[in-house]
Amino acid sequence: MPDRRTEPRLTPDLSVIVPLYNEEESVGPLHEAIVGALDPLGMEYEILFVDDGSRDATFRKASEIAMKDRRLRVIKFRRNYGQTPAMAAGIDHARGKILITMDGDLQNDPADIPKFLEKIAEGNDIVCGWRHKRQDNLVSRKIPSIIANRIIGKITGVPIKDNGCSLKAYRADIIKSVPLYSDMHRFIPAMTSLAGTKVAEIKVNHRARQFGVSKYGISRTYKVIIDLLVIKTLLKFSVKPMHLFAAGGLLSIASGGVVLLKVLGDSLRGGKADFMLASGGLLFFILSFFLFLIGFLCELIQRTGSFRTLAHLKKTVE
Amino acid sequence: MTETISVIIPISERCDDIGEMHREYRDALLLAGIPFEMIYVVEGAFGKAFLELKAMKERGEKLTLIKHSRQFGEATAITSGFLQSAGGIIMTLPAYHQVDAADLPKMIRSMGDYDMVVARRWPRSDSKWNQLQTRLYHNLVSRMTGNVCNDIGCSVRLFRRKILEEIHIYGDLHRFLPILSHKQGFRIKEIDLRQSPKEKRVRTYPFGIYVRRLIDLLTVFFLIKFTKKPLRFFGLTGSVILVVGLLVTSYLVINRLLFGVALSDRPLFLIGILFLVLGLQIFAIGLVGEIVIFTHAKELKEYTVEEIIN
Repeated sequence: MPDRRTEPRLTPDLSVIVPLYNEEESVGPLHEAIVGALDPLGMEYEILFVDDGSRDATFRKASEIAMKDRRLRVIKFRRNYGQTPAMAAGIDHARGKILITMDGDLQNDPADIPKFLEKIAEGNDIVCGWRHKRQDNLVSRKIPSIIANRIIGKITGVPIKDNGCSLKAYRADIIKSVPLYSDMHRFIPAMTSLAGTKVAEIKVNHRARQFGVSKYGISRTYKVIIDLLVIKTLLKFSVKPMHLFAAGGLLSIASGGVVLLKVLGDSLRGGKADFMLASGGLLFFILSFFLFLIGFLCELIQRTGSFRTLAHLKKTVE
Repeated sequence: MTETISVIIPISERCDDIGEMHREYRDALLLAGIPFEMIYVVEGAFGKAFLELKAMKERGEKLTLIKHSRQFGEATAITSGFLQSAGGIIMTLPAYHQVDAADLPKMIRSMGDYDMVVARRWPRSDSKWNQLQTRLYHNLVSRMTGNVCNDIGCSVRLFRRKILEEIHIYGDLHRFLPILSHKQGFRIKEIDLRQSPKEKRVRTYPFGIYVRRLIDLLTVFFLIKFTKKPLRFFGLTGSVILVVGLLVTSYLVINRLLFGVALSDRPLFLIGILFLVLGLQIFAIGLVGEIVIFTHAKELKEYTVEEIIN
C-alpha cells in the first residue's frame, strides 16, 4: 500500500484528466475507481479534476479528497466554460508524459486505462476509445452518432468510429501542442493527423449514467457542421491557405470570363449587348479579386502567427 | 472591508465644475470611513480642469494627478489611472454629475464578496427624453449581450483589482466592463443609487455619437459571442444570403430556359448575382477569422482558473 501522503514527483508517468460539471455524486466513486485501476500498475501518476464552474458540491467534495490524496489536483474554473476548455485546462496543467482524458460521469470505466497504456507503448501517439456496446437511447443518441462519425471520418480522413468518446490517451508532447478551443476536442485525432500522428482505436466498456443528467442534445448539429467545415479547411489549407482562395478566385474568373466573352461575341456580331449579363459577369470578376486578396491576407496571417504549433508537432512526431 | 480603495476619475469627454465634484466625492468617501486615494486622469483638452486640480493639490488636497498629452479616450484614461493605483479595490467615478455622492458609502458597504458592484441611477430625476434614450439603448444592449445590468451608461463602479488585471479595455470598451467581467465569470451586483439632482441637462448628442455607440455595441456583441468561433456567425449570415441569391438566380434561369423570358429584361437577375457574390465573400471572411483564431489559439486562453488545489 503506497503512502497516500507522499509528495508526487514533478513529472509523473501518467496524468488522468477528468472534467467535472455538477457531478457531486460521481466524484468519490470516480476517484476510487481510478486509484483502484492505477495502483496495481506501480506507476507514478496524478489525477486532475477540472471543476467546470459546477453549482453543486463538486468542488468541495473533490478538494476534500485532494486533502487526503496528494496525487489528486483540483482546478476550479470561475464559471462554466464547457467541455473543451475544461480538457484544455487539464492538458495545460498536466505534468505527466502520457495523458488520459475521460468523462466525469462514470460512463467511462477507468479499468480500461491499462489497455490504453499498452497501445501507447506499442508506438501509437493517440489512442481513442470506442464505446462498441453503447448504453444510450438508440434513436436519439446512437443513430445520429453513427452517422456523424461516418461523416467526420470521411471529411477529415481519419476514420474513427467514435469521436464522441472522451476516454482517450495521448503522448503529452503531442496533445500539448494542439490548439484546443471552442468545441474542437471532438476533432483532436483529425487535427493531429496534420502532423502525421499514429492513431489507434480500442473497444472500451460503456456504462449507463448512474447519476445526474446528460448535458448533450441533438441541437448541436449546426455547430458540428460548421466546425467540420473549419477543420476541413484547416486540414487542407493550413500550410498553403492561398491555394483555397486562389481556386475559388480562378473559378469565379472563369465563370465571369465566359459570360463576358459571350456578351462581347454578341455585340461584335452586331447584336445589342446584354447589359444584365455583362454586369453579372463583372460581379464575378470582382469576387475573384476579392478572393485573391483574402488569400494573400491569409498568407500574411500564416507568416506572422504561423503554424508554429504544427511545425513543432511534426518534429515531435518524427 | 479594510482594503484601500483607489478612486479613478477620468476627465476625458465631459467635465462639470471639478472643484465641486472633488469636494462632493471626497466628503462622501471620508464618511465611508475606509482608506482611499483619489487619482485624476486628465486628457489633453481639459487644461482648465488640470490647472484647477493642480492648484488644489498645491493647497494641500490629497490627490494624484495624471495628464495625458492628448485625447486617448476614457478606457485608456482608466487604464492609466489603474497603473498608478495601489488599492486592492478600484472605484471609477465620472467627472460629471451622475449619482448623488452621498450614496457612495452605501455602495461601498454593499460589496461583500462580490467582484464588482455597478450603480444604477434610480430613482431618476432627469428629463423624460434622457430616460427614453437610456431605456431604448438598454433594451438593445440586453437583447444583444444578455441582461447583466440596467444602467450601462452609469460609470460609477466598484470592483476588485483582478478584474482590470485580467480584462484589457481599450477604445470605448470601459462602458461594457460589467458585461465583459460577467463573461469572465466574475460575480456582479447592481445597486440603486439616487440620481444626482444636478444631472438635469437634456442630453442630445451629435448624430456621430449615436452611431459610435451602436458600433461599440456590435463590437462587444461579437467579442462575447463569437471570438472563438467566427464562422458560426459569418457562416450563418453568409449562407442565408447565399441561399437567397441562389433561389433568385435559379428562378430566373428556369424562367429563361422553360418560358424564354430573356434575362436582360429582369433587373432582379443582378440582385440575385449580387447576393451570391456577397454570400461567398462573407463566408470567405469567416474562414479568415477561423484561420486567425487557429493560429493564435494557444495564446488566447479560453478559461479562467479561480483556484488550484495541490
